[in-house]
Amino acid sequence: MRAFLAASLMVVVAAGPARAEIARVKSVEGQAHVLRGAERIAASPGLTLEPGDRLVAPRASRMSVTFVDNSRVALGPGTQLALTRFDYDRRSQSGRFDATLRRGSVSVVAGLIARSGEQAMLLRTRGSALAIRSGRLIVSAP
Amino acid sequence: MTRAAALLLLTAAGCAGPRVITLPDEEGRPADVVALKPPKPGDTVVVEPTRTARTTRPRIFVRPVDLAQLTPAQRRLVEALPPGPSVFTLYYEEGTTRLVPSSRAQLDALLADVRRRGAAVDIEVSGHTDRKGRDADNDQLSQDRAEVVLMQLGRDGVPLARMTAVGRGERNPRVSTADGVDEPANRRVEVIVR
Repeated sequence: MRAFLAASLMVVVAAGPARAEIARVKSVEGQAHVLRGAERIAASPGLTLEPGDRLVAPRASRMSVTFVDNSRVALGPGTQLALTRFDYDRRSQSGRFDATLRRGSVSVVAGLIARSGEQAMLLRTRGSALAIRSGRLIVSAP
Repeated sequence: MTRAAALLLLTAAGCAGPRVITLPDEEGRPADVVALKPPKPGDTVVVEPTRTARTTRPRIFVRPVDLAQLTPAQRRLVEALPPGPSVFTLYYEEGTTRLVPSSRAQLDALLADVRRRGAAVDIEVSGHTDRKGRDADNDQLSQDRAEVVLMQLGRDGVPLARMTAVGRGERNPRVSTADGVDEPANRRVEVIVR
């Protein structure tokens, strides 16, 4: 029993800090920040992002981000973008990337995840979803 | 968005859906976007002329937009995208962490690229070996190769927190060979700079 407990504890410990780094903030203007659970983190170049993070660029603010699959995103003023899901396998260069644009505008360049499947990279807005395969685009929330 | 553009959208679209403008990527490849759950019929998805956007069921009006027609705000948003990644491959002499002479220029190019990107850079280094020798030795050698590059970048001023290094031994060959083959193309370090 003790051995079992110790073994399961180790698994938990190993899983604990292993929150994957999925992206880094590259540039920031104004009051851009990241909401992570109940935390509000001021964005600065080099900040690492995690799945579930919500990126916020309020009025007169901007932020740009590069993901580990080479996808890139820039948030214009008044934008909220939730990184709903980001699974990436570096070896096979495949995965899933779901983001939800709640308000505002983003520009996007598709990365390696987008090439790994028809619907591997999804950008959702209220009432719609775009599957991005390649290229650059600007999406503005309704 | 300017007021005029907003008005245009309202009249054109009935205004429930997202607005999408596609552009070719930096290498000129066209965008490929599929609307999976398009907004209601009559809503607008705006697509640049080189589009290959495929629209599925409920109808979407596709209105071509010229690059020149981007509003200043849209142009600024595109220009705010971070630069794309660079990939460098350095090759090594057999069984060592010594670069082959022809890779020294690559190393200089790598360092220059990193400097150009400034403080926000992040770097992924992976070391590899050929299939000659024992697996365990190759794991160690690949790790050593990666770490030597890491140290070099560190000396050049890149904070360690901005870098990751991993040795993959002989598991990710660039050129597939039988075990025991000393293939120069597989004795390498790959560096991705973002």
